[in-house]
Amino acid sequence: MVDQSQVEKVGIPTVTASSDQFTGLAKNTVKSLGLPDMAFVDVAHPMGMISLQEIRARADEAFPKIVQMATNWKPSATAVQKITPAYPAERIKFKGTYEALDKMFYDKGWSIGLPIIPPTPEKVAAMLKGTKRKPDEIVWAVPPRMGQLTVELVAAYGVMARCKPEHMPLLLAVVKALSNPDYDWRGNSTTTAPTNPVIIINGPILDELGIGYSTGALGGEMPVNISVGYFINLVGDIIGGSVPPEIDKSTHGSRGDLVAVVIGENEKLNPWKQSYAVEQGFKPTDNVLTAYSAYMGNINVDHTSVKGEELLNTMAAGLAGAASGVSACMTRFDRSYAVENAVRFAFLFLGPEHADTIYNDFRTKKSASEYLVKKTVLPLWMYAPARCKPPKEFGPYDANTPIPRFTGPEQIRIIVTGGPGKQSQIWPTFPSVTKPVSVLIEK
Amino acid sequence: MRRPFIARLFFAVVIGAGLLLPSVSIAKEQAQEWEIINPAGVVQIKQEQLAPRITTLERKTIVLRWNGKHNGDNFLNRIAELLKERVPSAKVIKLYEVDKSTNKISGNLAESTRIAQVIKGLGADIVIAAQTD
Repeated sequence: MVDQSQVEKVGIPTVTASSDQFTGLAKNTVKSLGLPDMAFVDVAHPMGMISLQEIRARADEAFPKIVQMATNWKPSATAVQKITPAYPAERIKFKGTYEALDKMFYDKGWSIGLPIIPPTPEKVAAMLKGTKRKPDEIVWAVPPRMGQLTVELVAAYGVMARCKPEHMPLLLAVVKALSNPDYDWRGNSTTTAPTNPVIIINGPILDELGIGYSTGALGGEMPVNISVGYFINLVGDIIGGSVPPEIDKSTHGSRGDLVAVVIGENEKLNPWKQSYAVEQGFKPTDNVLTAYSAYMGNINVDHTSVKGEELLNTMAAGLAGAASGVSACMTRFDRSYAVENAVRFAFLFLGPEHADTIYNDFRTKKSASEYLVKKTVLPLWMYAPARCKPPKEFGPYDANTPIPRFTGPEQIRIIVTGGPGKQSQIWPTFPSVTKPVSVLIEK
Repeated sequence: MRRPFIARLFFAVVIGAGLLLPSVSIAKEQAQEWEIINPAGVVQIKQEQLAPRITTLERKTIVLRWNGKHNGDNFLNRIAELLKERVPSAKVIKLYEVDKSTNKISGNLAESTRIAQVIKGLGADIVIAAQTD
């Protein structure tokens, strides 16, 4: 709907025929973009994945309504918006036990199902001591609701998620990365897909704050990773308003949409020595986080490959099948998202043992990625219709011709993380993400 | 006989009370006065104007816009047929055929603005879009 909203703003009226399960989200999107309403025609869901005959019948049924909305529609009158300052946040009194308070938060839509630490003014003031930024600074209007996130509220959400004052620079850097247009927060927080934020952290801050990067880094007993991950989804659902079933349309959801994926790179056990952040142009002493939105990750469990090529071959199998159905062939990183250029990069979270095996035969990460580009292929019949149209220079092909998923090494990004074991993870990106966003964590 | 019975009763009461103590202490979690910060924040959105509406499709340029989702083009193809049949004076442009770079959900404002400008450049009087799922 963002696209039709822009068309309205350049002075051209629009009518949108929308699958009726998604009109609520569409109308909410329109309002969050500052338009009072737009002309919609509800069409019976589903519209996708039905036969040509069925979709044409739906068009026949919708046509009179489309003409009506095109020529005789007026927006409903909207109330004048009351302007309330974003700072200071409202203070509320409540009498009851902790359990009652926690329930009140959930009932009001101020928590997402896990217990919260009450954001009392004292605790929030203590959190604010972790940054020099002014509490009234607005750091993000969080889509889709466009709630105004101030530094004060970053501190409040930090308290709720059990963060500590020394985490404030990290939380503010997370907000900076997620709000970058390249991340496409709106699309990622409202899609039917099980997307979740992925935050990769590099630098001395890993040990300073005790951020998990070794055994079980994405599991329990990792208080900083968990608190930061919880913070992200509190922000997304509460001030951002991305709540199922009307706005967050994720068919199944995912646990990463409850506590986001936050992981450090195991820089000490990285055989290539250069961390991901250094590869992106930062200094080894910089504290850096990288954010992107991912589809659910899958796993490579390879206990038997001895050579680097053997291990990369099994890794390629997982990469090829990651985000199946939506992924396109011969994707290009330097071109923007399109149906035939979808899921343009993925991260590999290599366990250190797997990294060592690969390093023995591939002395640079780039050479490993180049090998994977060649080996990550699917026969044409395994791509969804319309997702794979090789260019002329590819040459002749038929349904059984192996066709690569990627075209360049920059599309397969490698970090080393986790502890001992023969395990790695594959995290493909959501299609509308332009690129991973790396930002400095500024103290 | 009476004295041992009273003694047993006394011990039973004491032991029973002892067993109940932990649950009594849990049940005694005191309600307290809390002051908390409302985390919902406020919403401030700059209000924008809708485009002026049209009252007829006759002799208008109608641009059909597809966001790339399955069947949206098939839906709009049928709408194009119906427009040609019912409003022959209208000019119908299938954006998804004349500029395939627009067949997408833009994902960011810059791309969205670009698509809007492409449509404006075609002299559109109205856009009919399909948002399928």
